[in-house]
Amino acid sequence: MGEDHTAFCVRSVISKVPNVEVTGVEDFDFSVALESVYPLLEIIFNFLNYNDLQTCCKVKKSWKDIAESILQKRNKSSWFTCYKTKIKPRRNVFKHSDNLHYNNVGMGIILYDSRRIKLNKYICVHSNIMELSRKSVPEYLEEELVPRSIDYCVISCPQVVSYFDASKDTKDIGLGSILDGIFIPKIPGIRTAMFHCNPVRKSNIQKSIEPYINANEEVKCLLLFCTTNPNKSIYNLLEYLIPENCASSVAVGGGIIRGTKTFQQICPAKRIYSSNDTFCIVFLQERYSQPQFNAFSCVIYGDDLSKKEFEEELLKFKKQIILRTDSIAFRICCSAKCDTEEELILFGKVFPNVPLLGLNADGEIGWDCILSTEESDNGESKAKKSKTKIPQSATSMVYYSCVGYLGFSAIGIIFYLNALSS
Amino acid sequence: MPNIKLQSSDGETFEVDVEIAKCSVTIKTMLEDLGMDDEEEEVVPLPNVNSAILRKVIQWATYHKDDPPPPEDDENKEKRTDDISSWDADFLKVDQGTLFELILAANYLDIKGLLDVTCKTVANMIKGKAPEEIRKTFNIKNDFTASEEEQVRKENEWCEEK
Repeated sequence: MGEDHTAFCVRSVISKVPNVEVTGVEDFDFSVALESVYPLLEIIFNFLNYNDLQTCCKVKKSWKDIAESILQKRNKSSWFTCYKTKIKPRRNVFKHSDNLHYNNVGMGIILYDSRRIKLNKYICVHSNIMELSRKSVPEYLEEELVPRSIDYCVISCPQVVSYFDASKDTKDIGLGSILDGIFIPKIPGIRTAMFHCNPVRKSNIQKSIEPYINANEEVKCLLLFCTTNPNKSIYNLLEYLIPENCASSVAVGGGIIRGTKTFQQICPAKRIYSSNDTFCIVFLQERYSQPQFNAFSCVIYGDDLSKKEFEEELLKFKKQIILRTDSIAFRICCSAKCDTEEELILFGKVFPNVPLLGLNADGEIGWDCILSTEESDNGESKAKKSKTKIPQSATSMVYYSCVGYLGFSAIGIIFYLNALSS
Repeated sequence: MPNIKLQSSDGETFEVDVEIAKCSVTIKTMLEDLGMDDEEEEVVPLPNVNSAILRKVIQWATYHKDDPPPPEDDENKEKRTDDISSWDADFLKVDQGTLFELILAANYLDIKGLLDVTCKTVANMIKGKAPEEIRKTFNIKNDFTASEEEQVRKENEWCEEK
């Protein structure tokens, strides 16, 4: 666990390669020498990041075996959170998973509360404060927090309430975080993509999405964020992205937030996004491939659920999904809902060690995923309906919260939406 | 300060401050197990380290004598390699053979700090390079057949940077 800091600086995440000149010698086979002492090569490879280990796989057979075994150990997601304690004297706390320096990250999702964040005050003291205060949060993150090789997005939300770690004082959660982020490792067989799309006109959709999704890929998990109520237009998008006959096999979650910005290797054509734009994060799987990945979402309705009822809802969801050893969860909750703390604690109880990235939104998007084999017989008409087509209740302006569960390599993504009423 | 005598494989003796010598867990254990008294004029034989390398190791240990103990390893974690000090970088400007012997000595003498920094240096020789460059640096023969290479390429396709 990271230490508490009153301010944090994460510049060190960006690595520099120092130049130590080691000269080659004739008649000395360095690679044979390194392999002659076990487990020397393994010790050395532990210092390498994802891309370098991938390169090592191509160098030599014996290198491939070692590099692959190391990559397999590093498939955990990492997270960080920055919040202010509720109890006086109020302190700024920065915590992160102890693997924040992993470099095998496929994608990062960072949430911040635009009303509470003040860069110069909360985040960094290492450089010129005047200079920092002129920067926007996304600018700051791009420069300081996230290695450049990582695709990530920054989402400004009404409230950021994640639950990464039971040691965080839950009394502080109610206040929300200033800045929370999660880095998802590269998942074998799964590709992630992020794009903006204006779904109002159907003709726009294909044009905006085509560069990001290959013809032989299908969406397994979809996160949608918009700045205004997408109304019916969002169905155009869902219809395009989700195969109609198996809508319920795709996990969907999202909500109405304040703004988004993406940083990625595939640079989108520069254009100004309109308020009709929907920001999409997709997890894509090549058709007919069998990656160790799955994603599920569910909607929990009602604001008046007791602790016990809420826990039962979570347990019901847990029964329906395939749990994997590495997983993350998303929670999108109506900003009008109260008692967030209890829910998060219950989530931590039902899904221990699953980092939950959570936000409160001004309207939620999502539906229940139902596994065909696990379908219950007690006449859940809503679930059956969603198996065949996209449920018309996917978006809701009324207090609900959505949980998503993502399982990869053994990871899972859970989503849960939480609703006051349907 | 009490001194201790270390003898290299080729018979050369080095007189070293006991505290500096004890950064080697091997020497430290040896002294404790053998109950060697600090005042006795004993010679610790190090049959696996030659004088050239032992001289370098002592040089390194002397410079780093006041370092805090290195943190415990977490093998599931990618470690940093960008924290090699300029002194160490300068110290490690050697040829590959010497670097390898330093690694062996650090391993045998159980000096974690030295093992770390030498291994980091090797890691930095790999970082950011293409497979062919790495083969050239390490003098490695490509043992993949064309079809195997294609297979590796395919396996990695999904993660290739665009």
